[in-house]
Amino acid sequence: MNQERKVSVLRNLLERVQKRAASPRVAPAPTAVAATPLAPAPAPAVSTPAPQPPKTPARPGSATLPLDFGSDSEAASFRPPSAAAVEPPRAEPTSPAGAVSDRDASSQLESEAEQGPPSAPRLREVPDEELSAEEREIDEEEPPIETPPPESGRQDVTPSPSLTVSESEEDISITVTMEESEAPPPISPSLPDVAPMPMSAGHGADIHEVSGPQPRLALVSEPEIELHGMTPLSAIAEPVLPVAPAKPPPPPEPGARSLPGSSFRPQDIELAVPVAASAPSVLPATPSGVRPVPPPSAPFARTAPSVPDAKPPVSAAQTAPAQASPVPPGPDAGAPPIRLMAQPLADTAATPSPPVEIWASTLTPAELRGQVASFVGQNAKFEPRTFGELVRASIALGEEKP
Amino acid sequence: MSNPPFDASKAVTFDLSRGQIQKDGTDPRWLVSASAVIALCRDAGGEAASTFARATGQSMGAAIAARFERAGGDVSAAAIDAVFEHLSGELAVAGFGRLSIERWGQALVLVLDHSPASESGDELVRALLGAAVAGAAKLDLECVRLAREGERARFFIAGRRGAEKVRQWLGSGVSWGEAIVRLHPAQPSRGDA
Repeated sequence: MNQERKVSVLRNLLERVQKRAASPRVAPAPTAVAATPLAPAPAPAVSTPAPQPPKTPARPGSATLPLDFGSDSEAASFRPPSAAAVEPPRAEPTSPAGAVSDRDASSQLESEAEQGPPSAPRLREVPDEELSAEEREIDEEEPPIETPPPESGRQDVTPSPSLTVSESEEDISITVTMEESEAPPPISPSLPDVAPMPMSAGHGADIHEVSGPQPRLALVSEPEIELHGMTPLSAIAEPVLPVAPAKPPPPPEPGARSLPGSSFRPQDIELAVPVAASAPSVLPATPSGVRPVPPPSAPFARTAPSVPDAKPPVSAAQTAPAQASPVPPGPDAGAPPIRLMAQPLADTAATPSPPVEIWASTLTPAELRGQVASFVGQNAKFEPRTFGELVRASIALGEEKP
Repeated sequence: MSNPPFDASKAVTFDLSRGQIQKDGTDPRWLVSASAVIALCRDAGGEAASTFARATGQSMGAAIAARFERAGGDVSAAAIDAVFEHLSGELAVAGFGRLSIERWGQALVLVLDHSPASESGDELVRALLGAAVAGAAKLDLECVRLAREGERARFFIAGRRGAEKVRQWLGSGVSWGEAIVRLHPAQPSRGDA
């Protein structure tokens, strides 16, 4: 509101006061101001609003000014000079402050004065000098003052944490991305180191050592490492094969047999599982189930496949002579074969390696097996009916027959 | 032929008026301590103990054979269970333990549990069991103690050659099961054997 308008309003008020002074009458006692403890004296005929509204929250009804007018007409015609500053667009959001008529403003103030809660803060009246000085201050500060929105208190709470979280998430994501991008391929570089190592009971630990030093990515790629661990098994089992492949595959190097760069072909790995636990020369099964085939002079010279193959692969025929076993791995038995297919590591993404096929067979001591079979056969065939027959058969044991 | 059942009722008669103990109306018996008999046999020597044990066992076997003969039968032709019932009954009445049999292939193995004769009395029991079976079946045989596992002792009924082989194998550390297996001839008919 401009100064001229205020001045005009004050002039109007002054004129009315002068007219009333010309026709004196008794003014009613103030009620609203007397009820408030901050009102030291009855309000004069004209009361001005306190300079507090710009500092207090500008909620409609909460900062009502208890004005005391001499009559209803004055109250109706009165319009506080700082009403627009107190509630610029909020009292009438649809219309600008300057467009508000005096009647509307006065009616609004009247309704506020009447409908305001009794516990609402009452403002004391100030002298005219002080009021004018404060008005000037208000008028000077009016343009920069902007009433904060009612929910301004939430600005300190919600926006900051959200901003912080987003920043931290961005940091985390950036960090992970950089580690993943900087981390080398987990398996392919370690393959040349693992492949020439001999097969032992601690082979699993070796594999974990290869993939160990990646602290955070190791957890993510651990299953992948275990899956790829099958490939070193095949690479380790390959030196067991004494017969070199007759076909084109590249000549095996003693140091690195299954390099990722070399062409990988399907290999047959025999899992030797001893049956007789009392056999002295039976090696304990390795965790991976792959162990070297014993030499022909070993007590377990006979290799019998526990799970015969219906269709033995070509490489199975290559492994059979190495075992010095008169029984080839199982084409004569009719049991369904149990085979495991292991996907070896691919050296590059473009050339996937063919799968490795493995199966299990059983090594059984030939001598014990034969005796046990003979014993069971005797027990099955011999069924004496009389006591004499049993005693005579028992006596006949160990006697040389002519 | 009917196999006579073993009747343990009134098998032992205590004639207190005469101060005698009789079994099946035969010669008088003594009720003595088992440990005292074992100690006597140990002190008397192997031969004397074997003689004593064989005499005791032969009387048992003869009694069994007599029962079957009285029933019009023969122990050798009788069922295994019927003869075994009498054997175990005789040993139980005499206080030598509970008898059972095992058949490992062709081998007849007698298993004696809860016998008062412990490790030191196995030799006595061995001779007694051999004599009892031989007296019942009227066959010339030998008995070899295979092993003792706590209160259970196993004895193998064998011929002379078989008994010698088993004793030799057992002396060399071969288990009794493997010794019995070795006695059995190989079966060439089995393809994988």
